[in-house]
Amino acid sequence: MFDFFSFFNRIFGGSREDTRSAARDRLRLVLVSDRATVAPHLMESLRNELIEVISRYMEIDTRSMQMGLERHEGAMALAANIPVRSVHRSSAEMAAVSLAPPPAAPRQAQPEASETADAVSARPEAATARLESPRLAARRRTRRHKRRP
Amino acid sequence: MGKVVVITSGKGGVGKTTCTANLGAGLALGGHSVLLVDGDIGLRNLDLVMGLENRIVFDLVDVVERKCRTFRQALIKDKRFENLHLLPAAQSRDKDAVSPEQMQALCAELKQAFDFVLIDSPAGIEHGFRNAVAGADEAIVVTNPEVSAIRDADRIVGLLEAQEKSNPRLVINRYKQDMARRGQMLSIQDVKEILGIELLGIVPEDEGILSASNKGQPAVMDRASRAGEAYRQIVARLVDPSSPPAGMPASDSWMDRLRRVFTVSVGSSGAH
Repeated sequence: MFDFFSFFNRIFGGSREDTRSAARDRLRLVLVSDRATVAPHLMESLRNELIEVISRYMEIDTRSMQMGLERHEGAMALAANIPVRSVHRSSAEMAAVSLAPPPAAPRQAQPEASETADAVSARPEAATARLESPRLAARRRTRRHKRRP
Repeated sequence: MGKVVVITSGKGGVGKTTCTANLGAGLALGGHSVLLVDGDIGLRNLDLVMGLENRIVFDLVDVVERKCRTFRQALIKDKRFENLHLLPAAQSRDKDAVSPEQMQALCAELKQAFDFVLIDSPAGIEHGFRNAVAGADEAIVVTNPEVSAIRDADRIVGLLEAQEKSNPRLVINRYKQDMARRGQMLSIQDVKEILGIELLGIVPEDEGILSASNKGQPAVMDRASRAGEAYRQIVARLVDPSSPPAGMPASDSWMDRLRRVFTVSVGSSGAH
């Protein structure tokens, strides 16, 4: 639909701001944290289940583990900082067998390896596993580099 | 046996009472027996919007406290309709004069006698809200295309789901089509996507709503009112879920007529 009216409006009616998308984006963000904070058991049970899953693969320090929703520019992220004490040798072997990348995609695991390395180098006191989108991780990486040139 | 429908919103001033009055009047015009219950104890207003404020003798609290013989004694019959009654709220009492259990028992009794029992919920999420939803079979959430109203509506939807009042349906009130078109107001699609519940209807902004409440005469009784037309569509959907899905009632401002002249369709993407 080409709308002559809004076209004329834009030319003669002055340039009024598009506030609709601001409203939509702000609402989406605020509802993520509203829904998470309103349900008191949601974050608690998510935390417990995460610990359960991760503990199958590695020994983590659940007491100093931090987890929560964080706001990064235009998006909400579930950010978890989970110090790893050690990786179970047996589960590492099993994962290597069951998660072996198919020959067609041999480079799949590579970006994650560099991310872990980055996290370790940035925080020498503990190896850190981060749960966040690659986009946010990338953003965080660039920020971190800016902060520590 | 009839059903109990609660009209709620979280935020105040979005049009719950107006919506309750119009849906009640619309249902009664369609030949259904209807009882309107003002759930806003201490701040009653449904009587005023309906033009029945001068005839109140007993109220909801009197019924619950058995100060009148039966609930029928407290009902005000609206003489303009075949079968429309109002159970007013107490004005001089507090919201916790009634408990959710008492409301549940009362609603079970009321729906034996009427096709539709519409409860006008107070704003907020506290005691008054819990009372209003306690006996409800269905819920209608009223909101405006405005950030604070939608945030509160989302909270209400969460609370309704927690109380197992499943599938609340949405009425978007005071929608301004031309503002949405200019990108200055959330669109219907935006609100639907954000709240993620079934859309029951859209009521356009209409100055006639103010004159209707000035007179104590719901807009749905006025064939020429745009908001009234929207309420008639919502009533049809309440009665028959298979009636056409919610859409914007035809607009008739001179701006809209002008823009129809200037709008040519060259693609398939509509406004909504």
